[in-house]
This record gives sequence, structure tokens and C-alpha cells, in this order.
Amino acid sequence: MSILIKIAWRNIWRNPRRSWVLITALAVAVFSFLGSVAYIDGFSIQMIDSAINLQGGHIQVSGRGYHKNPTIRTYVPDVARVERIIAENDAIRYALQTTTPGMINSAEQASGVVITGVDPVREVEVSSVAESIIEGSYLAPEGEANEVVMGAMLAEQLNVLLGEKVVLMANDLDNEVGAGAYRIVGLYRTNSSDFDKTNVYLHLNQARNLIGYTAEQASTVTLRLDPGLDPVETAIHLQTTLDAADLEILTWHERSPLLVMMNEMMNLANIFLVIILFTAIAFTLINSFIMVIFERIREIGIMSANGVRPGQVRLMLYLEAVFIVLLGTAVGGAIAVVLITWWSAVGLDLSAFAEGLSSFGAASVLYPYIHWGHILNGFVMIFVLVLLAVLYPAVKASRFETVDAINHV
Amino acid sequence: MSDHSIESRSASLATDGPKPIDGQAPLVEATRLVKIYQDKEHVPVTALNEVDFRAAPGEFTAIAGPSGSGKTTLLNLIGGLDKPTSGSVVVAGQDLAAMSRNQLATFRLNNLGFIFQAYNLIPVLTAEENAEFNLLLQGVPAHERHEQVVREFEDLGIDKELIHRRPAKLSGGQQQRVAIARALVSRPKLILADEPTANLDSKTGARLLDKMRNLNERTGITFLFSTHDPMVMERARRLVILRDGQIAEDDVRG
Repeated sequence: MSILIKIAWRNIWRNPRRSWVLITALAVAVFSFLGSVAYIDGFSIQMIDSAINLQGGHIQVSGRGYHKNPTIRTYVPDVARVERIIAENDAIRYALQTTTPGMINSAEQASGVVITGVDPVREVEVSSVAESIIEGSYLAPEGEANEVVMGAMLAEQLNVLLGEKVVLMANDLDNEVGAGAYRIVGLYRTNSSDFDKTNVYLHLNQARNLIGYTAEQASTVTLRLDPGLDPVETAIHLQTTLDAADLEILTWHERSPLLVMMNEMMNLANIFLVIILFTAIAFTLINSFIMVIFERIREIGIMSANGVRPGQVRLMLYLEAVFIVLLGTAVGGAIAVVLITWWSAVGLDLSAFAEGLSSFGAASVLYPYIHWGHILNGFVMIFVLVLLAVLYPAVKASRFETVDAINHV
Repeated sequence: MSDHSIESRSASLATDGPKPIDGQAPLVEATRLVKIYQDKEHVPVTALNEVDFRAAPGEFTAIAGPSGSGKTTLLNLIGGLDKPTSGSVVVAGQDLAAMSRNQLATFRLNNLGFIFQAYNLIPVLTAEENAEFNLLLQGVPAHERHEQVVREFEDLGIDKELIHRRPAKLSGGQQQRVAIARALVSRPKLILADEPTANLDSKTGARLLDKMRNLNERTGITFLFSTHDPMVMERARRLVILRDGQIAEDDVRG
């Protein structure tokens, strides 16, 4: 084996120009693959983060049927018990919300919105809205004032400024229209333009008053998990612990099937990318290796005469291919990792496509992300494709008749 | 030996089959060996025609004859590098026709050594690595390999300075010595040398032949040469002349 490794390695450098062309082609393909995967993964992560940060955390607990039909009549039963059980796990942060569709009115405009009541102290631990404030401040910790926080785009649409008042209207549990005037204390801007145009935040108690909830009622409990805690496993555990048939405990995967599907499609796109890029490379490899074996027919014959078995001839050619792939991967991978690490720090400004990206919940500055699992899968596929590419020349080389090979001119 | 006696000897070998040579079991037994090639125009060409050939262990035999007489073909068949059209080749008790490609490769590795006219060293390996090639394939430990190669190089008069040179940096004579070292180092039962002196000047050729004859006497390794070279024929203890694919003469000189 060691002699075959030695021969394979030295064979690569018999024609350095040809080897470097192959290595460079592989390096470019690996770089393109890693760059694309990193951007796709970065985009995917931003969308998922948006969904988790703005729309219900990792897990959301609600009354059964709330997800399909989110009305104020479906609320979390015995929310105090739910809170108590969730609070037992230190790795989970949670906050209560009331949510209702309603209208927001300024002096000039009106718009349909989702009115969410939150406990500002707890909410900042499960939602990124407070971090997205670009003007003013988030709701004050004490929840008595008539304060509202809204998207800057919505404020623009309503033609209102920070500090001005708006009127919020919503139906209460008795189907009576409740209304109140609220002063705008903060304007936020998130990655999602749709979200910014349709969501306003009040103090939890203010919202409860608006829709006729008692101080013990809430529409949802949003959970944010510490890293390392799996949402699916945690949801299953909670389901068992809470043991309430009238509760609905959903992870973000279950609440956002479209997002999950998009994520899967992006992973599929990664696979197609690898196949397309490396199929092209595979044909270059096939061509090169056919040239290689025709140049070395006599040598292969001599090796065979001296006792090298057909399988060892194939192994030797495979080793050459593997060395070339390793070199190409190392060169392309090193350049890609350095550049992606830099891009992931500074981001890629895609302001020109900001509107389109925003509709997907992605920011106009994309931060590529190196997902080692996806990269490993890609590399496995590269190796499989390359080994498949070298299969034909390797089998051909191992089937030369020894006597013909030795006499080959 | 008259043509008539040659024909009768050949015919007798063909009918009687292989027999012990001087009471020794033969190392090589080729029986009714036929090899027919197709030329470029797909016309069948008979390279060997019902040849019976036996060689005892320790022989130093030259197979000579004009071009196209079948001597290289006979060597290739004995070495398991080629398959006969009909007939059988038994080497060291093993029927080569019954072996798979893998078995043949392993058999060659453990029993045979080859010396070619064009040296045929592996260009990416140094002289030492070429010489120890078969030992590496056999899995012999590094220190043993090195010792054996150094000893062989000393026997063959290969300068120590050359051991790390690649074939391209060696003269023809030096390359052929390395090739001989490669064939000898694993102490095979049989060495098949196809025109080993053809590309060498007469002085170098004579020196290498003397070395090989000396090794044959010392170690008992059997040498079979295919040759045109009178120097080889002079030194051989047995001279087999092939003509038109048949043994025309078989002269044992003792």
C-alpha cells in the first residue's frame, strides 16, 4: 500500500501543469460551492431567526386550535400552571402575549394590524422587537401607561411621528368594539417589511383591557430556548409534563411549514449545485485520467508483471484522484473559509434587493454562514462524484493485458 | 544436431509429455504449447506450434532464434504474462492457465523475476525503490528490504551514490543493473530475461551476464533468457533454438 501511495503522489507531479489545471478547477469549484452554500445558509438562518425572534420563539404554547384560527376566544387555559411548569427549566425563557386583530387610526389614515400585548420585561428575552427600535424606546417596564410601539413603515404609512397618538380598536370577548388612544413611544425596523407594517405592541394589561381579558388570561406563551436545547424534544417534554389536551404546543417548524419547506429547498439547491459544479469537473477528470493511463500503459504492464494486482492498479489511480481532490479542496476551501469568515463579519450589502429580501424576512445585509454539516455533505458528494469519474479509467487500466501493456509503444 | 533428429526429439517430447529432468521435478513444464496471434489485418499468425519445453531448477538457459521465431512469446507464456491458445504451462507445480488475473499477479510476485530489454523501471521511483518494489509488495519490513537491496546493489556493482537517483538520471547499464536487482532481490524461483543485453554495450552486457551466471551458480535461481546475443548463448549451459514456432535445437552443455 505504501508503495502505491508513493507512486500515486509522485505521478501527480510528473505533469505538474496538467495537475495544477485540475487542482485549480477543483479549487474554483470548491470555492464557488462553499461560497454559495454559505450565502444560502446565511439567508436561511436569517429567515429562521426572523421567524423565531418575531413570531413566537422556538416554541409557542396556546389553547388548542389557536394556530389554525387565532381568535381571542382561544386562550391558554390555566396559564399560571403553564408558567409555573415552564419556569422550572432554567434554560427556557418565556413571556405571555395577548394577540388580536384590530385597527389602528391616525388623524389621516387607518390600517388593519395585529395588536399584541406584552410584558416588556419578559418580552425582550423572547423577541427581538425591542432590539429593532430605531427611534424612541421600547415599552416602559411598568405597564400602566398607554404606550404603543410600531413599525417605522407603519408610522410612515399612517403619517404619524414618534410621540404622537394613535387610536387602536379591537373587538372584545363580548363582541363589543373596544378602543383606546396610545402614544407612540418607539418605532422599530426589522428584516421583514410585512411584519413592520402590520404589528403593534402594547403593555400586556392594556391589551387585556382592550379585549376584555382578565389578568390571568393570555393568548400565547412564547418560549425561547438556550442553545443546546432541542425545540422538538423540549416541546415533546412539555406536552408530557403539562398533560393538557386543551393545550397546543408548537415548535417553529410546525408553525412555519413554508419556512421549513424553503429551508429544505435551499438544502436541495445546495445538492444540485454540488452535482452541477462537480459533474463538469468530473468530465475534466475523466479526460485527464484517460490521458494518464494511455501515457502509462507500459508502466502499468511492468507493475502487473512484477505482481501488482488489478485492484492495486485501480487503487493507485484512485489515490491519484483523491490526492488531486484533496489538494483542490484544500486550496479552494482555505480561500473560501478566509473570505467567508471575513464576509460573515462585514456582511454582503444587498440593499439593491432590500425590498425583495425583506418580504422573505431576510435583511438587506446578508451574513454568510459556514454550516459544517452542509459542507461535509458537499465534500462527501464531491468525493463520490470524483471516484465515480475515475472508475472508468481505473477499471480500463486494470484490465490491460499484461503482455500487450508491456509491449505498448 | 540434424534437422531430422531435432524434429524427432520435438515430436517425442510432444507425445511423451513432461518428464523429470535428471531425476529432478521440472520447474517449468510447457506442454503442446500453441499461440496464435491475429495480425493487424486479422490474419492468424502461429507464434508457437505444439511446443513442449521443460526446465529444471537451477538452469541457465538461453532461448534463441531468429526474429518472429516465438522466443519472447514462449517466455511470456512461461511468465504468465500471456495466455496460450492451447496447451498448458506449469511453473513450480502451478498450472498458470487455471489461475485468475489476481492469482497470476500473486504467483509472479512470489515466484518470478523479470528482466526486460528496455529495463522498464518505474520512472517515479528511485533506484532503491525500484529494486525493492517486489519486496514492498510482499510486505517485507523496511530494514530487511534495505539490507537486501544494498547487498544486491553491491553484488551487481551499483554505486551507493546512485540509490537515490531516479531512472532518468541513470545510464542504460545502470538501469539494467537496477532492473536485475529488482528481479533478484526477492529470490524468485525463476528469472525470465527478455533480450537483457540488447540495449547495452558489449562490455557492460558481458559484465552483467557474468554477474547473472555467478548468481545462478551461487543461489541456484533458474534463468531463462530470450536472446539474439551470442554472448548470452556462449554463457548459457543450455541453448534452445526456436524456429518458426517450434524447438529446432536443444543443446545441453553441462
